[in-house]
Amino acid sequence: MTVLEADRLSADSNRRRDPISSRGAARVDTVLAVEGLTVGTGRADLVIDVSLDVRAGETLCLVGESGCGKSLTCLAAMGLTSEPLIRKSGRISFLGQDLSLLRENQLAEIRGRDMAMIFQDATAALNPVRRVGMQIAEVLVVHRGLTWSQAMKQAVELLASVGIPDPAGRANAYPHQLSGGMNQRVMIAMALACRPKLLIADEATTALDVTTQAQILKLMKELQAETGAAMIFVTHDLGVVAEIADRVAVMYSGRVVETATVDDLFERPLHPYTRGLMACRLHATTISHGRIAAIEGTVPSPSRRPEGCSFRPRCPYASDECLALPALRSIAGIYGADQHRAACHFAEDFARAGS
Amino acid sequence: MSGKGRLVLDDIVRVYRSGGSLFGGKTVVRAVDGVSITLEPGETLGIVGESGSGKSTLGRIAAGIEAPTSGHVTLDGKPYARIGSTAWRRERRGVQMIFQNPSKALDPRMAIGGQIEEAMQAHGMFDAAGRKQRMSEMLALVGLPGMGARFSHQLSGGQQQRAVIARALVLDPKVVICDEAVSALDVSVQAQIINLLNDLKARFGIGYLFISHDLGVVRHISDRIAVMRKGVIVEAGPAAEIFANPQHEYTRSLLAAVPAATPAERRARERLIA
Repeated sequence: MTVLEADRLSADSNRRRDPISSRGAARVDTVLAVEGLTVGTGRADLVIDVSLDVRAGETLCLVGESGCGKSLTCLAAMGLTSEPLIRKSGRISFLGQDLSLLRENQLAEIRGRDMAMIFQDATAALNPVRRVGMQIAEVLVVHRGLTWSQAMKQAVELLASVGIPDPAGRANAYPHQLSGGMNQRVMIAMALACRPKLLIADEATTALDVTTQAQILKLMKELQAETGAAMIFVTHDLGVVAEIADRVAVMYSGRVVETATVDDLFERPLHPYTRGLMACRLHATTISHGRIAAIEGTVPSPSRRPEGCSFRPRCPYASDECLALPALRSIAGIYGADQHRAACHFAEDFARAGS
Repeated sequence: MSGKGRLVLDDIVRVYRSGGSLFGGKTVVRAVDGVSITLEPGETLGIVGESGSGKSTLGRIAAGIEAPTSGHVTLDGKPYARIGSTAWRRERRGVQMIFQNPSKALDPRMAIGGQIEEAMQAHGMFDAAGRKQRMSEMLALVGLPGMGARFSHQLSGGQQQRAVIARALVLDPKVVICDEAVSALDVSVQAQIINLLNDLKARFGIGYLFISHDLGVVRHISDRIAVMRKGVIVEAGPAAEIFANPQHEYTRSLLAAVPAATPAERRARERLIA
C-alpha cells in the first residue's frame, strides 16, 4: 500500500513540530494509558475508576451492555467529554503525554491526526451535503497542510486502500448515494488518512450485515498490521471480540470487572457477569435447545447502584461478602495470572474449579 | 377464535415504484418476488436475510398491514380482507406484530396497562372489569406483575418489549410476526425475551414468523428457516439442517461471514484459509 508507506516517511518528518513526539526518540510502546478514570455528572458517576492501556499494534476490546460506560470511556480518552459530563479524577496519557496538560487547540491537533474514532452509524457521522472525497481530503488539508489537489489525489488512493471499487468515481459521491458498508469504509479511510497511532472504533460494525461486517473486520486487521496502530474496539458482540481482540476489558455498570487476553477470557471467564454473557449468547455454529441461560434482571441505573458489587442483584453466586466492593485484582494461581484480572470475591474459586 | 392458525403465503409479489417525474425514468424495485411459504400452527418459521432482502416487506404482507402487488395470503384457508375494511379490522386480532423498537411501539402518554386494555376494547373483548383483570394477568405472565400504571419511559428496553408482547398476546392471536423483535436488546435481555416468547408459544400454541438478520438467534428459536435474498427465498428447511448442511451458495456465504465463536475457532479457520 504505497500511499500509506509514503505517508509514514513524510509523517515522521512532520511530527517534529508536534507537542507529543517532541519527547524525541524515546519510543513509547504503550500508546494510550488510562489510570483511575472517573467520569460523571453532578448526580451520578458513569465511569468509575477505570484503568486501561493499549500498546502499538494491539487490539483491546471493550465489552459490556448498553449504558455500562464503554463509549464514555472512549470519549473521555479523546478528551471529548463536555458539560454536563465532568472528568472527576484519573489520568489519561497518550504516547506518554498527559492529555489534561494540553490546551484545547493542542488536543484538536492530535485528534483526527494521532488518534481517530469511528462510530456505529457512518451515514450519520458523515456530512450529508459534501462529497465523500472532499471530506477525506479535508482531514489532510487541516492536519497535514496539503493543498486541496494533493489531498484529493490522496483521498482517492485512501478510498482504494479500504477496498472501494472505482475510488475516483466514488470520491464524487454523496453519503446517501453509498451503502452503509461503503460509508463505513469511507469513515475508516478518513480515520486512517493521517496514519493515527490510536484508532477507536465504537460499535463500528454493529449496524452492518454479517457479510459486510466480516469484510470490514478483515480490512481493519490488515490495515492495523500495516500501520501498527493501537486499536480500541468497543462492542457488545462476543463474536466480534473472538474475531479481532488481543486483550479484552469487560465493563459492567461503569466499572471494569474483568480484563484478560482474549484466549483466557473465552477459556476461563472469572467474573460471573462475563460467565453469564458467555452462557447466554446464541451462536450460529452451536446447537442450543430449550431455555437459554439468561442473566435475569437489568443493569442498575447509575444513580441507584446497589451497595457493594453492582452485579450483586443479578448474580447467582451473590452472598453477604458482596456487600463490600470487590477490587479488580490479578487472580493468583492460574496461568498468565498477571494478565487476568477480575473484580469478584469468588474469582479465585472459579479459577481453581476451572483448571 | 376458530381455526388453528395456518398461514399460507402464495406466490407473493410486492413491487415498489418510484421516480418517473422530471428526472427521468421510473425505478421499479421488486422487494418480494414470488414467495410461497406456509407457517404451520404453533410453528416458528425464521426468515433470515441481509438488509434489503425484502424480509420486512414480507412480514408486513404476512401481517396483512400491507397488500401484495399479486399473490394471496390466507389464514386457515380464508383470504385476507381488503385493507381498511371492517372485516380486515376484525381479522387483525388473529395476526399480531412485534417490532424492533419497543419505545416507538408504545404510546408515551398512556400507561402500559391502559394500552393493553385499549387493544382488547378495540376488538370488543370482555367488559371493563374483565379487561382490567385480563390485563393484569397478562402483565404477570410476561414478567411485569403489577406494573400496569407505568409509562413506557419508566421501563427499561427489555421491560418495554415485554409490554409490547403482552399487548399483542392479550388478543389471543394465532400468529405473531416478530420483525427483529430482539435485535435492539442487550444480549442478556435478549435471552430473557427469547425464553419468554418460547414459553408463551408452548402455553398458547402461537405460530411465530420470526424475521431477523441474526443467524444465532434465528437458529435457536426456529423450527424451520427460510433464507431470503433480493426478494426470493433461496433455501428453506429445518433449522438444524440449514446450518449443518447449507445447500445454496448464498446461505453458505452468510454462514461463513458469522464471527467465530471463540478465538480458537478463529485461528482454526484462518489456518484453513492459509
